Amino acid sequence: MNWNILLQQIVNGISLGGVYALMAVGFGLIFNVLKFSNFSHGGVVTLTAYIGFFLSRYLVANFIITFLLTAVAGGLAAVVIERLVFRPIRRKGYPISMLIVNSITVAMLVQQFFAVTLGADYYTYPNFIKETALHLGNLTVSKIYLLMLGISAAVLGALTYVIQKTKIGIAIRAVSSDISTPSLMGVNVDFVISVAFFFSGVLGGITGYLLGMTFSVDPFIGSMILKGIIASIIGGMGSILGGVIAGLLLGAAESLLIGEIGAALTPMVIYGSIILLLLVRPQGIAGKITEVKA
Amino acid sequence: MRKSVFLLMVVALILGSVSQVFAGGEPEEAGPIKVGMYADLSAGTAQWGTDAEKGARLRIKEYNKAGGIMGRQIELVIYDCKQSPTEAVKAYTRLATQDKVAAVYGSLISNTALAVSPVAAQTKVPVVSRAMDERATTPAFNPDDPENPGPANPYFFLLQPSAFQQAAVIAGYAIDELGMNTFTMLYDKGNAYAEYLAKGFAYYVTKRGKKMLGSFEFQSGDVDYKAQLTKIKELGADGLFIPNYVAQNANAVKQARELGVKARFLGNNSWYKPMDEVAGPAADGSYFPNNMTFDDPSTQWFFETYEAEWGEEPRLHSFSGYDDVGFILEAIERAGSTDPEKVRDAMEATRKFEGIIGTINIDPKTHRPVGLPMAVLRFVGDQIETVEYRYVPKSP
Repeated sequence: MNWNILLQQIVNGISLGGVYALMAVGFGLIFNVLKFSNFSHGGVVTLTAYIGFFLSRYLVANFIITFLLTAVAGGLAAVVIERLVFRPIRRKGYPISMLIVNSITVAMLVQQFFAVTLGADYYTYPNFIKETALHLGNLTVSKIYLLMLGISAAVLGALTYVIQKTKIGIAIRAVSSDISTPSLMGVNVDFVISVAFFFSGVLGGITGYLLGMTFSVDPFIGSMILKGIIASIIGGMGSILGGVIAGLLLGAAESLLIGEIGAALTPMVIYGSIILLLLVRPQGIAGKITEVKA
Repeated sequence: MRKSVFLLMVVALILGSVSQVFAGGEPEEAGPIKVGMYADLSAGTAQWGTDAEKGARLRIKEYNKAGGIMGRQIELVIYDCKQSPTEAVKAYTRLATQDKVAAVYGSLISNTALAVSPVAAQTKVPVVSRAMDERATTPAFNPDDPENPGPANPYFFLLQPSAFQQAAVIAGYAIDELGMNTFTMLYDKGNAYAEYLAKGFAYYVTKRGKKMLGSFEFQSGDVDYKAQLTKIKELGADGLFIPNYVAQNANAVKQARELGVKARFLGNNSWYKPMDEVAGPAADGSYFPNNMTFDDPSTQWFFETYEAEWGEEPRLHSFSGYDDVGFILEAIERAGSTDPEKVRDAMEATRKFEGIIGTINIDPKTHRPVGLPMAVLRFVGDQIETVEYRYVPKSP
């Protein structure tokens, strides 16, 4: 293998890895707060991929406006999902496994809804960015992927700031470490959870928009969340930095492996390596071992 | 009083059964000729099934207006198989055993055909279909040895070029008309349709003494093919064959353009509309085969007839339905009987059946059409343009 191809494959992988990172963080955020795997995040991604399409096709063909609207729509969708299907279960004190089951059901419901109503057709966003690429020597970097990477970096940076420095961020972290004590100190736990879902949904909305804009929209686009979940696990559930690193690594590894051993064997190698990694380092790359409280 | 009522009832019963016995002597010749159809009238491919049904009904109406066959009218018995192999088998069995149809027009997709084909071999009521997968017509088909397809299922017929035949059309065109010598391909390993086209393409290219420089797969859910395309770019072949479904084809084309892949793209019959909208100008310069093109002057009369009947423009499978049921009715006519066995014999002997899409000659060894031409089209910018209305590869 020559160095050019190697480098090119890493570039290919990292740009898609940016989206994996977005998904990993959106997923990890909820895991941190409620200690359950929120598969409905994939449903939000699918939903917003369609919302982004309809906004940009029929409302206004402007990238920035439709992008922001879609992000907010994703946030609201996640808040509504939490209110409708997670909060009642949490209030009644049912076990966490019920939340997981419900989150899977929501993801499947969204997927099936779009498969039945819009599944037969193809939906492509207006061409905001021409399919052109930057050429750096022998390296080809696609503009749309560069944009994906840039947006991912900006959003994750902003989120880190919010979580670390702002009042609501501190509240989210407090609720993450112990869900009941903060309420004794006058923190409105339900509100904090809603905000966490809103942030997670915004990330989902951005993911959905970017995926929809880059590839055409179909009901199964949200199933890519699996890659995000894997990145989140490798990164150490809930750690933003860990999720980002793992997302980028996963993207690059995938790209290199597909180029060398083919698309059929690649998932086997990757899944196998993850099992090994977690056997050796169960807390993932950057995480501390999270205690799951029943 | 009561006694007389009872007596009357007995008499009526006896008379009834006697008349039934007499009627039973001629069940075949009385009433309309029944033709069966199972189609996807709901689920993902509902549009295709509904279009085929409209085409079929139009053809039957024309036959009935002209006096039917053997002085009898024709009736279509149709069930929805919902794109499901199990439903298709149920529908076929019901048509063959309860409705006692003379022949069945099967759904358009391959996986229902693969389920129905072995059942038809036992039930012995012939099925015609558009299943491109070779195994529907020749069950023992091995894609690595296409010259020996094994025996045909006596009761199953294909009315369009099979996967290998379609691959030969575009590969032949690329070699003979575009002067290409080296090829790569990128296909969905999880889709039998794409895989069979890819294998057929590689087989034909190698047979013609040209070179396959590389073959790359992806998984059905994948949307990013940059890793494969980076390798493909490096190999630098003349042509890149991309035989998948529309969205995958469009993604592949866009990403290949971004990476600067120089090869000319070659497609399958999923490159027709709406590929122009989904892929846009990235498809510029690509060539692909299709069963027909709508600008073919010899098909224009059908647009008028169809629109007059249904108040909408025909789509590809409106033509399919019209042609395929026409094939069945012509076989019944030639057989001079509605006995499924005789209809089957007539189907197997079909030569020069003139459909709108093309002339069908059934090869009795494979039950697939021989030498059925396809249209070849190309992208100029984001517009699709016909280059050949009816093309047959120069070397089979």
